[in-house]
Amino acid sequence: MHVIDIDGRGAVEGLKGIRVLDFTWAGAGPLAMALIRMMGAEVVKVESATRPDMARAMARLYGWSTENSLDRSPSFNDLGAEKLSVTLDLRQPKAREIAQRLAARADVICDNMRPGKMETLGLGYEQVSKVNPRVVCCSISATGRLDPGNDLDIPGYAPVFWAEGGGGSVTGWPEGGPSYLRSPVDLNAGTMACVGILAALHARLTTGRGAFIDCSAIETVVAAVGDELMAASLGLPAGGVRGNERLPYAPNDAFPCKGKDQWVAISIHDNTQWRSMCEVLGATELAADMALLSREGRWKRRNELYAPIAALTATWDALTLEEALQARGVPAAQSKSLRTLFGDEALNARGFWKLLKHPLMEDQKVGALAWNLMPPMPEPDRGGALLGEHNAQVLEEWLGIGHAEFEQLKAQNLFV
Amino acid sequence: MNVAASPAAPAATLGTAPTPVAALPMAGTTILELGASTAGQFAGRLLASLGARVIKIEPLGGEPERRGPDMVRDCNGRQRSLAFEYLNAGKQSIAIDLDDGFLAEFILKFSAPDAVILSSPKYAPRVPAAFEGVLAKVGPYGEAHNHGDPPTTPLTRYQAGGDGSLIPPGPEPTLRPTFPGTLVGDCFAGAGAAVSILGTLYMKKTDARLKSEPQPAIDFSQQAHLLMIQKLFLGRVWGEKMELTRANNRYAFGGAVKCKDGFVSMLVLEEHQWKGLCTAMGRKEWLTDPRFATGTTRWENQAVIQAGLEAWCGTRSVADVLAATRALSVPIGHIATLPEVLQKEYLRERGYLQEAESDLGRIVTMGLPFGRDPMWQGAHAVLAPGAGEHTAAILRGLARSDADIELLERLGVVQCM
Repeated sequence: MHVIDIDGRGAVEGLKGIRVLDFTWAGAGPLAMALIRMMGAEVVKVESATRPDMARAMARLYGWSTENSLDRSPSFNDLGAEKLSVTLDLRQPKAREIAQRLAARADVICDNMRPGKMETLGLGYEQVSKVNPRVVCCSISATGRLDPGNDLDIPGYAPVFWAEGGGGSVTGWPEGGPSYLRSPVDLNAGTMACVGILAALHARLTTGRGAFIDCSAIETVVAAVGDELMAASLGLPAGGVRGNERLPYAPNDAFPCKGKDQWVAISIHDNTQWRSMCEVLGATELAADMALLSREGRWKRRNELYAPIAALTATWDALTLEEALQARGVPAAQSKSLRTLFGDEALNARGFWKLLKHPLMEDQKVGALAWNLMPPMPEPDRGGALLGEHNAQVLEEWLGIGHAEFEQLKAQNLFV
Repeated sequence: MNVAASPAAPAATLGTAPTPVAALPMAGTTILELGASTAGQFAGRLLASLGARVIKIEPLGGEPERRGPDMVRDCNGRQRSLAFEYLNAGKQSIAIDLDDGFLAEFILKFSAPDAVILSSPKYAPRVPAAFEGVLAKVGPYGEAHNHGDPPTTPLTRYQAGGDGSLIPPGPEPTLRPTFPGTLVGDCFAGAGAAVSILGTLYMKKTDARLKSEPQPAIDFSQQAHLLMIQKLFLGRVWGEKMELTRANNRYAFGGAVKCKDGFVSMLVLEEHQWKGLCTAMGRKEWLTDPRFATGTTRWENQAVIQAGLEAWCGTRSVADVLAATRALSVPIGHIATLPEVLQKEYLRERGYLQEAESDLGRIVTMGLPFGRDPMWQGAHAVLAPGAGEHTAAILRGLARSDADIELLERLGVVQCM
């Protein structure tokens, strides 16, 4: 990570000095820790060859390929960028003791294990805060902690959170049934967890005390459909699988463009936008239809509008059409694929993409923070750590364990 | 008087009093919202829930989003936008002629190192340079866009961020791209914007360079954030030089599966989960079948597994499927309709969902998803303030006399509700 001094007044070092112990391993937690790291904190991942960050083994777990190396995952290289890696076999008491000593020196501890797991390792908030009252602990799970005696246990990933929180029932086409989102669900939970961590750190500046963030991934989904849930609670029709149909826009849909699976989304609200769209597309018949010069007229005929508009958009390049419509004040966006976005003009202009180095893989383009700060934040330049790459470094810097003692511990097979 | 809209009006609680604002983590911080985007408004809602004082500076007559769908009539006969009510609950409102010099004067009254202007690229130029606080500009594309600040909608904002091209997933992309619930993408981005503000506020108190910077400026891009939350798969797209589409952005098997009385959703990744699923389905022979020995071979033979899964679920109720699989640690969920979400006891048990009386009737409110530490248990905000509801009170707090306020109102500079 390198800092940038733009005007000779010193560089922003962000969260430098904040030490984070990261037991997260699946999606949400690693993203929360990536955000904290990108803001400058030191993040030490605690993992092992038998329980690595899931992103290290993603290709094999999802069945994309037979790649078995835990050090050659592009997903981990991105999510794990600039984090340090310590391998501890937490099944062994001595390794747990080391983890607890590290925890005693941490400002932030984060996990996304099922509720209770950290406590069995002696790493729960109540345990750690006895020796480290300033610690901020964040635990991300499907439901969060429930009442004692409530034995509901929902193990889960994104499709579970999305389903239980109501997201599935408001996404998809009627003919296709409810649909799921993948990465955004997990990583939104991580973003929300980061909100809690930063708020707790902020409060600590005043109180001197830490806090526990018991983040429910399902609740983070509920928050994203809150307006529709409010409507449902009032007994109003709400939600439902309804494709792109949304009041007050008509048309409001994805229209085909030239090429395979190329689309542009267009939303029309008022007559000015409608006329402009018709002019850009050369839709003379639609423009001449006086009944369509009202919101009500377009809404009532929204379904029959799709085909004639689609016939015209199909002759356009999607990006060219997006630009032509936006230039006329019409809400429009190419339905951009992830690969297309690596070359997106707006993202490149703001310096969003960074090139990371990795010892075993080619240079990789990854997204930085979604926000630019002026004066600028430090920028990442190093990819994800090799498994256990920083065992000796972290034990020395955090615990003062020297070379000889480290070798003794290593001989006990604690670092695997 | 719209009692329900007051930030002080608490929702029904769990039997314990809500934590006083002064004990919430962002107490003492003031956020001025000026022309904030939808994502910015959700960020403001989160910050208000954390104890910040969030003041919406609205144009006379209120923000146009107050007339956005879906509109509901309250007990006073007033039409209210549910989206606006949700996004702006817990805030205060002052209505000002945004073209009058009084706006700059008002903003400067709140100038302080830990104050924030939450705005959009379009409105940010109205913020005086002398304002000493954080300027957060939250926009669909951030500042660097070739068409400046183009008009957008929930659909176009979502499609611009990449995920729209991936839903709905299916073996053949016969269905065109769509987007999730209306505000989902904006709420995702709003959480990211809240991170940017909280991070900058913290650093402004601890980082030597930022301490001396009078007006640090955040340029937040919703499009960039929607990509940020694709990090699970962006690496694969880059590393394998492949394209992710609706055809291949799906689970090998599982996803949404139909039962007799609804749908379940599942993802099986780890071996013990696969074992649990096979056991629950009574297909133990699959555990030794070489076609399903690894994640890779299961991907190759996904059609067989999916067909078996659909046949098994299709003859059972959601409850039976959940009971059989969860007992064996299979990650599975019920695709709940919104009325079903409202009935989930575990969401109420933690205090996340609460009920309150409001001008719209008895309504469910949402808190913070962070559990029961009192730090996260402030009073649930119920509805948004009326436009200018707090104009007089805020101005009195700035030592303006009632005569001053009356004159400003007669001059058309401010509006009181």
